[in-house]
Amino acid sequence: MVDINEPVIWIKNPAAVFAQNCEGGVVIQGQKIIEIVKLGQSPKTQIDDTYDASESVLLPGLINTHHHFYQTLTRAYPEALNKELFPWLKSLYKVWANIQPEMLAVSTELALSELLLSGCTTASDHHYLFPSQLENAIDIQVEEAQKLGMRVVLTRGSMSLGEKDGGLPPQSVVQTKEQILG
Amino acid sequence: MIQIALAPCSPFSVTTDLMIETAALAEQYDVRLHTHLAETIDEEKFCLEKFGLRTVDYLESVGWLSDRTWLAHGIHFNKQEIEKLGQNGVGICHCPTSNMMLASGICHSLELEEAGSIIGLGVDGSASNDGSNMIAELRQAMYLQRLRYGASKITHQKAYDWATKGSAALLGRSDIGEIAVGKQADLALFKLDELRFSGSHDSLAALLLCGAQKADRVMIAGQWKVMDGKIIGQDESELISRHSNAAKKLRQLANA
Repeated sequence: MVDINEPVIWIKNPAAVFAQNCEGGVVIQGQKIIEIVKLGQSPKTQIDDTYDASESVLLPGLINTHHHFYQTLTRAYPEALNKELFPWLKSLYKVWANIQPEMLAVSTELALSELLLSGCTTASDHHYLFPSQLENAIDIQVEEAQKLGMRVVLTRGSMSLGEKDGGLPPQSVVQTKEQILG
Repeated sequence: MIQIALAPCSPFSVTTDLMIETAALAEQYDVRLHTHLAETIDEEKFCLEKFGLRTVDYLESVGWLSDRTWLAHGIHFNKQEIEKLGQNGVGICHCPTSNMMLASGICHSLELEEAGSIIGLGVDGSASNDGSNMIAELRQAMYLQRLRYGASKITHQKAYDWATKGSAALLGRSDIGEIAVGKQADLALFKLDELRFSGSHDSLAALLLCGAQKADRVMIAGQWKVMDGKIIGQDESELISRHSNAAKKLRQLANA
């Protein structure tokens, strides 16, 4: 519910907007959009504050639905260059097995920051790496997302089919089914 | 603000019984299911050799053909598989940069949509992108999909739709992804005051065609998080320093 004591903000007259009948901008109260304003019109709601958006293109916050935040630590990684998926993964699994909790924290912070600065307001992360030192990975990610105030969909990923059972990843990055579901 | 989903990594790194039990758990807790599927031909070969099934048949065999499921990549499907995914409401997250970087292939986005699947976007990576820039990813999606379907079918509006309404639907969300009354006040504002935009006429098209990289302002749940292209309260160079040190330390550990 919208709290009627919250200030009402009009994001006024954007240069362009990706929405129908919204050329005059949007009116926000609390967490929500309470009115959209047609071309050349003013809000019906009484306004407390106005943001002049006449030089801005207004979009709904962008939503990223697949990512691996921790991989920001291995960008342009020498041993993984110029490879396709399976050899690329095999070059990196053994590197990723060494990720420490503080590294996951800072990589989550960095990836979310980069996304936010590019207009993303909701991000999903597919985190499937739970070597023994990273068993509380999702808790670390929750904390970082909360610090930035970003909307996130965190997924408890998993790997259980290691090399010795015919899978692709080394045993150092897989868990048993019981560890995963427990 | 925080939603949780279940996401075994991929057919080539997860056991069959874990896939089955994860689907049951998702049903029990009413959460969404996510995995990588049909990203590469190597994966298809793996599924045929290990399980005797193509990827979509394998997905069906573990109880994942559901509108609770969204798949990353979803590239190597035949016509029957596209129909089956669409009829069951399985969603697809298209990851164009990663698919180009790893030479994985091109998603059949329009055919999947026609069959009934929802298409959203993801930057993937970050080691296979290697950036995490969402507005830049829309441009990549628009251009990669044009290679498959031509320029008139893949418009800038289509790319915006995928990254907003489409992506929201993949996550099972009706409160975000659209500027409309009653929706969450999640907004991104971009200024066209850089060299790259000068001389542009259609501002909405220009954002993608001229290659926007950075929002001027971003609001989440009614709160400004970015102003003048900076995250409020963040020391960006301090973050870069901490992150790059962590990356160096990781390489040292890996090579030890």
